[in-house]
Amino acid sequence: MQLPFSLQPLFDFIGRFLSNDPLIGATYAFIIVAALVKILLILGGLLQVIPILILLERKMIGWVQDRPGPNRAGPFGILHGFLDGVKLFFKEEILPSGVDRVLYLMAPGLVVIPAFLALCLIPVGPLIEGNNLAAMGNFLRLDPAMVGPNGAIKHIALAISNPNVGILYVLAITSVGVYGITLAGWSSNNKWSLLGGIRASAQMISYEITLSLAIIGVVLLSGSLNLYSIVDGQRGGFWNWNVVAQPVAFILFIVAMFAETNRLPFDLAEGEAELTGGFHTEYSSMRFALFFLGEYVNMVIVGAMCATLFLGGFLGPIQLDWVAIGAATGGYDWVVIIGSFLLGPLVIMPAKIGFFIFLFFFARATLPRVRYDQLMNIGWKYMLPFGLINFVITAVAVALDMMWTPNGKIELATKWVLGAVTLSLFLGWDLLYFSPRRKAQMTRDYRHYSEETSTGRSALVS
Amino acid sequence: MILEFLKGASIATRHMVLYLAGKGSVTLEYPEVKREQPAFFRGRHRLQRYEDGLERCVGCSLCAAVCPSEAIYLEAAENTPEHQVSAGERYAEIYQIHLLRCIFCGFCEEACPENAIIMGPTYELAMDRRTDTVAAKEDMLDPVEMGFGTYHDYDPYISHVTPESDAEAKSDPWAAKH
Repeated sequence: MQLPFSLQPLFDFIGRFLSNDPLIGATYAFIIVAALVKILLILGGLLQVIPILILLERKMIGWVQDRPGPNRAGPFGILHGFLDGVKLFFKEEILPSGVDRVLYLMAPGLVVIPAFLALCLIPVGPLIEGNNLAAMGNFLRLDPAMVGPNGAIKHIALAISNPNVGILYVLAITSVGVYGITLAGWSSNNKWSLLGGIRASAQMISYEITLSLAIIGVVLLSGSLNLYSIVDGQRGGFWNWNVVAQPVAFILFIVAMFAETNRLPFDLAEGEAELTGGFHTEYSSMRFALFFLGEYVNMVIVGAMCATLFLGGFLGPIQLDWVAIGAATGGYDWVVIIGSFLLGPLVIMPAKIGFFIFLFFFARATLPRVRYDQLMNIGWKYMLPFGLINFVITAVAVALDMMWTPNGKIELATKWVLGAVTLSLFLGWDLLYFSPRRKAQMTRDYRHYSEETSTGRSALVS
Repeated sequence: MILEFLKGASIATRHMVLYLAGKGSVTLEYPEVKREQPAFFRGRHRLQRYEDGLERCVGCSLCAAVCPSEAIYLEAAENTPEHQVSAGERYAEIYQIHLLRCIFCGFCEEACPENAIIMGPTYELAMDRRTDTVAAKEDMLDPVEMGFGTYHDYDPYISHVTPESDAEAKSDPWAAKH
C-alpha cells in the first residue's frame, strides 16, 4: 500500500535550504517536519483536552459531594471549560503597582514553559524501527537512504523528543518550574503571595528528593535513564511492570507527585482559604490562566511519568503479537499498524494518564489539606528514609547480580521477591507505627492541646 | 495509616457511585424545578379582592403608616356609585410599593384591617431597570377571577401542626438522619 504521490520532493525542497548535500538536507527537513507533526498531535491534542479536564474535576468533586457539578453551559456542562478560558481572556489585565516588573511578567512563563518542555519527553508509543520503518518509508514513498533500517534515520520515536538522559531531564525541568512559583510570589507586592511562593518552593524542593529516590530505584532496574529503555524493561505483561518490583517507590512517587504539582492535600501555596490566592493572587486574566494551565499540564506530566516508570508506559497489560494477529485475521497492514503503534497513544497512555488524573481529582475531593509543618515532616522524616531504604535494597540486589540473567534481562521472580521484601518492610513499619496501642498513646499525650486555650475550654468545642 | 486512607476513600467512592447511580443527589435543578413555598412565605405583595370582584383595599394607609422602610405610597380617592372599586367609601387610586426599600417584614399584612394586602409566594424579583423596582397597583392586584383571597388565613401565632403534617415532616429521610 502506498500514497498516490511521493513526499520525497517536499523534503528535498525544504532540505535544499538547509544543506548543500541533498540527502542530509532532506533528512534534516524530515526531522523538522516529523517533530512539527508530533508537536501538533501530542501537544495540540493535550491542549484540547485540558478544558474538559477542568470541567471534569469540578464535576467529579461535585459527585463526591452529592451534587451535579457545573451543568449549565452546554449538555452536561461541557462548554464550561472553554467558557472559562473565554472569560479569562476577556478579563482586565491589571498590573499592580509596586511589583517587580520583569519578574512579575516572567513568572507565568517560567511555570508554563518547563511544563511544556517536559511534555515533549512523554513516550506515547513505541519506536518505529526496522521493518515497520521500511513499511512507513514505502507508504510515504520516501528515499530508503533517508528513512529506513539502512538509511540515515534508523528509528522514529513516538515522543516529541527522546534524549538519552530522559528522566533526568524531566527532573531538571520540573525544578525550573519551582522558579516560576517562587518568583510569582516574590514579585507580587503582597505579603501573602510571598508566603505562598516561599512555602511552595520549599515544599517542591523537599519532595523532589523523594521523587528522585523513587526514580533511582526504577533506573537501577532498567540500567538506563532513557525512557524507552525503561519501558522496554517492562515488556511482557502487567506482572513485569516496575510497580511489582518497586511498590514502595510507587507509593513514594505518588505522594511526591501531589507535592510537586501543588495539589491537595499539599496545596498550601495556593490554598484559597489560607492565603487568599497564594502566589497567584495578584495575577488576572491570561496570566492566571497560564498558572492554571501549568498546573494541569504538570499533572499530566507527572501522571505520564508515573505511568512510564511504574506501569509500563504505552505497553498494554498483556503483550500481544500483532504480526501474528495481523496474519491470522488477514488484514495485515492495518491491524499491525493499529495494534502496534496506534493503540499506545490513543488508548493505553490516555487510560493510564487518566487514571492518575482521576486520582488527583479524587484526592482533591476526599482529603483535607495538610498543614505546612506536617507536610515538611512527612517529606523529610518519613519519605526520605523510605526512599533511601528502598534504594539501598534495590542497589544491593542489583549489585549482587541477583537481578540479571545471563542474557541481560531481569528475572521475573527476583523482581517479585524484591517487591515483596520492600513492601513487607514498609507495611510492617506502617502497622507498628500506627498500631492502635500507639495511636491511643498519642491521643493521651496530646490531650493537653485541648486545655491550652486561654479560656480553658477545649479547642475542639470552641 | 493506609487503612484510614482507604476508609476515607471508600466513603467518597460510595457517595460518588450513589450519585452516579441516581440516588444521592440533593440538588434542585433551578430554574427547571422550583420549590413550592410554605404558606407563611413573605414574597412580593398582592392586593386581594372579594368574591364579587370588588377590591378589598379601602385606602386607609395603615400599611403605609406601619411600614418601617416607608416603602408604600398611597393616594386614596372616593368611591362613586358609578365607579365603585372597593367595598368601602374610598379606594386606593395610586398604590405603589418600592420593592428595593421593602424589607419584606410582613407588618403591612398584619396591619391591614381588610385582609387586602398580603405577601405572596413570588420571590423572583430581578429587574433590568431601576424604574421597574416600584411595583404599581396593577402589578400587585389579583385578577378578578381569583375572587376571594383564601391564600392567607394563616395565623403565625398559633400552632398549625396536625398529626398528618407531623408524620409528613418526620417521614423525610434526611430529617431522620440529622
